[in-house]
Amino acid sequence: MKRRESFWPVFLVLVFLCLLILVFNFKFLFSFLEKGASGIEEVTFRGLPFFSESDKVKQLEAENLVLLSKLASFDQLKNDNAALSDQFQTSYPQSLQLLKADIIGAPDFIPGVSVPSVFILSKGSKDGVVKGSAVVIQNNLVGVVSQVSTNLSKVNLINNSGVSFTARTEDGNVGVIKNIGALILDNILLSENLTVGEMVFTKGDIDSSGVGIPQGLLVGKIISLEKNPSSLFQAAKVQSFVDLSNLSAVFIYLPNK
Amino acid sequence: MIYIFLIFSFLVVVLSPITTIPFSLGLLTAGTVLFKKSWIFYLAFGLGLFLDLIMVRAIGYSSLFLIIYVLLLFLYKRKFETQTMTFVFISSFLGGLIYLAIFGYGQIFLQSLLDSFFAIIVFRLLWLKSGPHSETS
Repeated sequence: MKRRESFWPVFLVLVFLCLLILVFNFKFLFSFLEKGASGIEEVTFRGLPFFSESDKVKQLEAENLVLLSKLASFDQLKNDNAALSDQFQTSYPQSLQLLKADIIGAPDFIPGVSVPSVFILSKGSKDGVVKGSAVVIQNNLVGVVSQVSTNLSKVNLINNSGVSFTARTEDGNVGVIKNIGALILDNILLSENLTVGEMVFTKGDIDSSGVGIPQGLLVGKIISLEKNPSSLFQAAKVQSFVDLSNLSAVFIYLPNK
Repeated sequence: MIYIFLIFSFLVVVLSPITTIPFSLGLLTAGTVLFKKSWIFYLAFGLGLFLDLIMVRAIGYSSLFLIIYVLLLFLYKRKFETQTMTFVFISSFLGGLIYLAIFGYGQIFLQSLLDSFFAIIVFRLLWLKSGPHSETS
């Protein structure tokens, strides 16, 4: 008679191993494995045709030209701000460095069906990436680093419901960017004057260690307003200029050490 | 039959970086039901590690989940008939729901459904190749 194979020893050993890994982490061991895994991930992500760059890039470039003129005026404002900072000797996190990172995964992205809300980047803690760092493309905010491992990092994009930060409009109205199905600039007093087409920038959310979202990054433009006379606040729907489906690389803001 | 299973395993590894659909659960369900061998636990452990590495999660969580999932399938299999399409569909669907809920993904019903269909395809193909009595393979 055939003896039934007992699975309990294997199960118990593996569960013990899992718990050991969870408790002690073994970063040195897994940084090696992670390299291999990220290699597979990169090959898969870049190898599939629908993830590579398409003609939309050209469309984006045309849109960028329009944006550049607006950014030029923003640079002017930034220079004014720098002059004022000197004047009042205020300290603002300086010499922020940009680190280029390739997008090697977008797990919840189904081309034509959904837009990505999470990116896996090819840079990790060994490159100086820390949780909470802002991720940008040109002057546009793309998202915030939510998890970091030795070789990889996970970014919650601005269209992710887990991302929320303070923002201001061109006219200086300050609110909170949230994601409730769409990008919403909320908590703006009803008495403030918002207009459709107005640009929205980050207000700045840097912590004491220099990590966070710098001020003045472009979030998008207001495409519609939601005013209810009985409420205290008004909200505005914001559209980002970044086509998240078409990105292949981004830049991570690193605090200068 | 094992070669077909290995091809599907490779497919799951390739698909993991671009989708959150838990195809690994479907694969493990079909594998556990048909092979009834303890090496399925090692596969669950390996797949879990790979998922945690590419999804930048705390390493070990997915492995632990998948190993416990396989254990539950083994325990159920001791008492009841499991080599049916219904069992494969329901178990991978429920497993997918719990997995997606624990790891905080969206559209969990749709994703679990797709995972269940994948499990049925794997199960059916392996079944056609070997028949129901694959315990000795």
